[in-house]
Amino acid sequence: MKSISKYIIMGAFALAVTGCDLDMQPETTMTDTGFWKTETDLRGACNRFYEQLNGNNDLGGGFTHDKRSDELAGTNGQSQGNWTIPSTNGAWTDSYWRINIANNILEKSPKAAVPEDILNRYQAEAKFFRAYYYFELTKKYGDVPLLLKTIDNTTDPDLKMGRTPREEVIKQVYEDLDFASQWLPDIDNISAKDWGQVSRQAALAMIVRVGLYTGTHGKYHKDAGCDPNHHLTKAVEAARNLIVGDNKGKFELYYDFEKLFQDEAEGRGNRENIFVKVYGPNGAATTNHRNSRDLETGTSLTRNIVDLFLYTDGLPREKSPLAIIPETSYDDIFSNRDPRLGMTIYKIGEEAYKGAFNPFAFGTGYSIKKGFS
Amino acid sequence: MRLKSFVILFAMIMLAAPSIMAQIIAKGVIQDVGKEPMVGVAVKEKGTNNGVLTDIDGQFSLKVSPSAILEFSYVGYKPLEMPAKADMGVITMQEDTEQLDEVVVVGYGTQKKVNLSGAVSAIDGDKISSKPTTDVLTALQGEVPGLQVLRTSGEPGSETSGMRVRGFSSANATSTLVLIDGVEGDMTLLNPNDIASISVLKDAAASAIYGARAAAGVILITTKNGTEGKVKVSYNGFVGFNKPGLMPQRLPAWEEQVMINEARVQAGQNPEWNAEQSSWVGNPNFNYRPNHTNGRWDLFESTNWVNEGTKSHTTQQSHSVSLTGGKKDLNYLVSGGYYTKDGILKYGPDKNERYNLRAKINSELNDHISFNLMASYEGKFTRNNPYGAKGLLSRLYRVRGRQPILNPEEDINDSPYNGDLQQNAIDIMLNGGENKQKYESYIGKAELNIHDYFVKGLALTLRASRRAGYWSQDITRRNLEWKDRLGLTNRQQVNNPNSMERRKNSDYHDNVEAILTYNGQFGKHGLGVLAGTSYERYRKEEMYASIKNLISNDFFSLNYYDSSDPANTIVGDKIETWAMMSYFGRINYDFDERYLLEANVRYDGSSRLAPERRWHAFPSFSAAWRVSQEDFWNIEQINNFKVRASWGQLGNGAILGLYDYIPVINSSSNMGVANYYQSNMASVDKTWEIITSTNVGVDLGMLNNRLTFTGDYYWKKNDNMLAGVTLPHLVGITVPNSNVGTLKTWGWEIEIGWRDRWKDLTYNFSFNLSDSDNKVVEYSGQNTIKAGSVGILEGYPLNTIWGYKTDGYWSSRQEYLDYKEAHPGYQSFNDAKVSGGDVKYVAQGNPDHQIGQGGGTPENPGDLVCLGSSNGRYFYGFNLGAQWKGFDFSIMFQGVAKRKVAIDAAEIAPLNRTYDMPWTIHRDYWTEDNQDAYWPRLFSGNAFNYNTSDRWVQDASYIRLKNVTLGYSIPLKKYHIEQLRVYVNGSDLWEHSKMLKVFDPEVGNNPSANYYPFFRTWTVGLNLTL
Repeated sequence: MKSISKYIIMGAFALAVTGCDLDMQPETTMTDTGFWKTETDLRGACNRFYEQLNGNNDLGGGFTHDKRSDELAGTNGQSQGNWTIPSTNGAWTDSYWRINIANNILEKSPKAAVPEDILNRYQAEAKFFRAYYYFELTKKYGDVPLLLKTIDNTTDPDLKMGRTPREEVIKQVYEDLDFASQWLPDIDNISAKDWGQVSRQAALAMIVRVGLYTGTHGKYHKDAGCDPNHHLTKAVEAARNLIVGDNKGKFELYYDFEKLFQDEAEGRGNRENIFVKVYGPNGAATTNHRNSRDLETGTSLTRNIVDLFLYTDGLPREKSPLAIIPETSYDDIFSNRDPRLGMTIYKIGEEAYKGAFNPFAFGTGYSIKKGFS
Repeated sequence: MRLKSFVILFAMIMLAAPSIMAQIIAKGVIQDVGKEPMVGVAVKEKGTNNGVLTDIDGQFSLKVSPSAILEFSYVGYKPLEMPAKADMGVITMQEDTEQLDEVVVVGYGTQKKVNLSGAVSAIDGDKISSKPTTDVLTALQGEVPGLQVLRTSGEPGSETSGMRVRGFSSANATSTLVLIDGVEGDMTLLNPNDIASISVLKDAAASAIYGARAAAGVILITTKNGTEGKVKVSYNGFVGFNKPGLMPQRLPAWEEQVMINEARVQAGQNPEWNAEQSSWVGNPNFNYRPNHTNGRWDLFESTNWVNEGTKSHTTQQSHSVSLTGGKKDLNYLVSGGYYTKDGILKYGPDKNERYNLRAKINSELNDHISFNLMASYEGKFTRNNPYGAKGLLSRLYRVRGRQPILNPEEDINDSPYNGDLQQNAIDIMLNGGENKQKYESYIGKAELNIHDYFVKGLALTLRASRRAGYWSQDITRRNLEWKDRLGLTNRQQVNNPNSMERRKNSDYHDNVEAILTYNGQFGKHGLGVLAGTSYERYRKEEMYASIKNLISNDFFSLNYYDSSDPANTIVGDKIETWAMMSYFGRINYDFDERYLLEANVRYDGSSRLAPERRWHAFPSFSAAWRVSQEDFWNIEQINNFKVRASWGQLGNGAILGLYDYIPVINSSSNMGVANYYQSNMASVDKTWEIITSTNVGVDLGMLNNRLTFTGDYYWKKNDNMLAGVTLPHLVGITVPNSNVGTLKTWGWEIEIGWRDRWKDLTYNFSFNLSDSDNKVVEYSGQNTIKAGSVGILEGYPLNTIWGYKTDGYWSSRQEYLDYKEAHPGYQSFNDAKVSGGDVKYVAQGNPDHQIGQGGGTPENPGDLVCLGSSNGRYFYGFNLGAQWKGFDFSIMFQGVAKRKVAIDAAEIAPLNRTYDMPWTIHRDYWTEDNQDAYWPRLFSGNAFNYNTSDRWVQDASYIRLKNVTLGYSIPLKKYHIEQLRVYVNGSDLWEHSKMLKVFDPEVGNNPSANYYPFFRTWTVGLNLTL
């Protein structure tokens, strides 16, 4: 009896002294430590960018970006001048969410057991999107905080970082895009199944866009610290590369301007496509957009942009003798005009959204034909 | 020779048994201090089994040896010993005023009630089982000051949603720890007849030994043990009838039609039906006609759907049997119980059953070692309609009274049910499918106790237990369609496509404990030491599959459905695990049982927190002074006077997730391509909320403990409450809660009791009153208010209600326009249509603006005013009990003195939406002839008169006759019957409150129109012990 008691007491103390195992791992949810191992994981992580890519920049979808200007008529406080500044806005928040995804991939991808060129390829994809969203932010907000790492606790002092000058942000954007243009795959090497993923040519095209915007903005708004020529030169070099340099012959204009914005112009078969957001057919469990419905319910062109179209003699409205001034008919804007105007907006009597077109039948501006299907 | 031995033998017998020869008969009368004879006092010859009980006149007669000592004992009285005499005369017994031996169960042990320095309320198990209620939690309501039972509805199986001890300990979820014989369990599954006692540990001193899970109070339930002696069989059962209590009543269809028409006219529309059509609704001879324009029937019967769809009464019954017996060193108890209750819906699957089984064996292996074994089973089986009782009640209230249940006879469709305007609730009840749930849990516990082995007073307890639970749910939803008259289109349909769900999980909860205790007395110093360790582990594995578009509408199986469309299949699994390691200790010291000190500490580590933050120590200290034991104490009327104080820290982890500190990958898919990302920051810094609580209390016993008083005052502070953190959106990810909030709670409790006897009548009376209030000191700057309930608001208590102030009704549009002219800028809701019978909303400040929420903050509340809180204040209960001869009677009232309930406009505004049918209370609506009405004018389509305001926020204070019991113990002494008691009991029979007479005053905040009513219950029961 005594020995049994002795064993029991020893057991009790053993229980008391050894702390039992308190580390529990989730078994039905993936954890970060179990991820980042193979190329499939990196591909899966980068796929998130495409789900999050809004079909129209400015992260509002639809025509939110264009409505910021005087090109589209619509109830948009910014272009009407009566915008009340909200306390939070998706353009800021969503951009930083996506930048965080990119930073996360850049930090964690070295853990994967993949050869260096594969690693660089996926890092290039993350860098492309980081650059893309920082460009979006500078377009809307100018100087923005440049955060190049993930935050993993609530007291990180970098959260209080101030705004970084625009030039520095764009410098980082160029760096990221240069890396991307080296390491992303060639557009012809992207399979039909993977169509929509970024390519090195997309990175170059992005450089063109960034350079052109920042350069012209700096020139005409006299941005401090901005050397417009530097930006415009970068744009020119990248464009030269795409058109006559290494990538000569990879791109050309589509044969029909009107059909360019319809279904048949999808895919690599349309050699004008460099970087597109891919949508799926109606009804399927895919991503789709409602642009057509937007056009129908009121987004329309302003007279401002109609006036910008040139005449067949190459002269603008103020200079060309072909311009009919004053106009006596709605269709006068189309005569002797750049044929693309007629492909962009409806003429009287043309079959439009729900019947023949008449001015003011849909919305208050020039009803848009381009892209409607 | 033989004669000689015989004589010697005889002499020896004579010498040896002078007692036998000279036995005396001791006689006497036993009385109490009031000179009343005491019945049933045990008179025993000391050292033998020779004894007798006093008879009805207090007299006894016992044959004893001349030198015998007689022992007199009776419960509640001081035992006496006297030498035996032939005529003992009158013997007076004194009441045991000290109740020296009353013992209370505390954490990991027991303690004498007089030595407690913490706030513990103890309830006897018989008090719980004598109330024929659904479950133990319901029976606790009103019994313990500071314990609030949260009732949700009358729905069987979901009557309660938990409890709260001493108000709110956090703005987040809290969970009161319930331990049944030391094993964590669910109180509502317990058989009430198994309970011996319940202890509610309320303050930090009493519950700190449970550390990280004790912040919301601890409830210790001890089940009955076997008793030694002959086998005892007892049966407790009751049968009850329930009637639904307060619920809204529907109007006859023609009256409804009048109101529908009126509401539309008031809103500037045409009446729904003209006078001729409306007259058909009241006409019993003309109920339908075919409509040739729209292919439907025009229906104008008169049906009270709520009466057709609900029962006027339901039944419940409970049966419980227990068997106990044993010898001194081995006793056992086996008990089983069954309980069932019906629901209020008239048709369809309706089952709610609970089965309990328990077996306990206690054995003393030798003088030092004892071993206990317990095995128990709890099963809960429910079957009801997958549409949900609330959904069905909603349909029953919302379908128009002129719609019949069945289509006209000439209707050509297969289904006879009418689903022209709304889904047919009767058809759904009968044919809509079934929701079957089953939960079974098996608990096993073994305990080994080694005591007084090396040192006297030293004991070691080793305990291991496992609770294994199995839960499964099967839901089948049949597709039902109701077509129009021509059978061409579906007017309504439900469960399209049909579907089925199966969900199963099994879990186990293991607990291993080792506890070392020492109790010693050194002269006047008493010392108790406890040291222990425990390890708990939990694992749950769950799997579910849900499918749509089954091939047959009658045969439901996961094998027969259209699996070609991936949207039809959802499968998933979930595994949850956690573990907890603890070390705890306690020291009790008392000097002469006058000065009492206690210190507790518990060191807990949990798997839910990051390794750097997972351990925390929770200490507590308490002291008590029994002033009445002092030499200087000379107030004879007060025989017990104790003051006590305690301080301690407790933890709350109810809101913690299982793996919060581990970053987790989410997945999504786009165009068929999967993607993976992290959407939540891992919270490595999260830890338990620590609640520091202080308590001061006083216990008084007066007039020989006939009058007792207990009072406590407490305050607690939760200053690392988990609250949201607002960070710049630069962070790019969802940020977890951090321990940055603060909540202060304070309150008090008093309990007064009186018990006495007068001749044959013993009676007792008790009253308890408690209150608790709180204030959110800090919660990430939360300061948004809106009309209605506001849960968390910095600087205010939790759950405040904000609304507008009103001042009766406008008598006409002109009055409104005149007012607007006199106060330019003022504009009420629905300005263009305001007219006679609309609510006058009072502007705050100058009436020169549009009534509204202003900035929506307490600094800028617009016209909103704080109208109170939906937490109750001042909870009270009083009990009166009496026993006389064989009768026993008890009655209990319970109530809340202050509480407000906000009712959402959508729930009481009649005809706001076209399907919000009015109730009988809505009859008194404003018209030009009835300007004194309670309700505003009817107005279809806009509930602007029902915005949250002081007009509609209800005063939910109430007093309720909770329980009344009358029982009689039949003095039948044959057939081995030890006790036979029959009783009748009424529960929730009457209440008084100022609330609208359609909701029960205990309803939760924001009740919905289709809430499941509470029941009034009458039961008849039997207690039999053989």
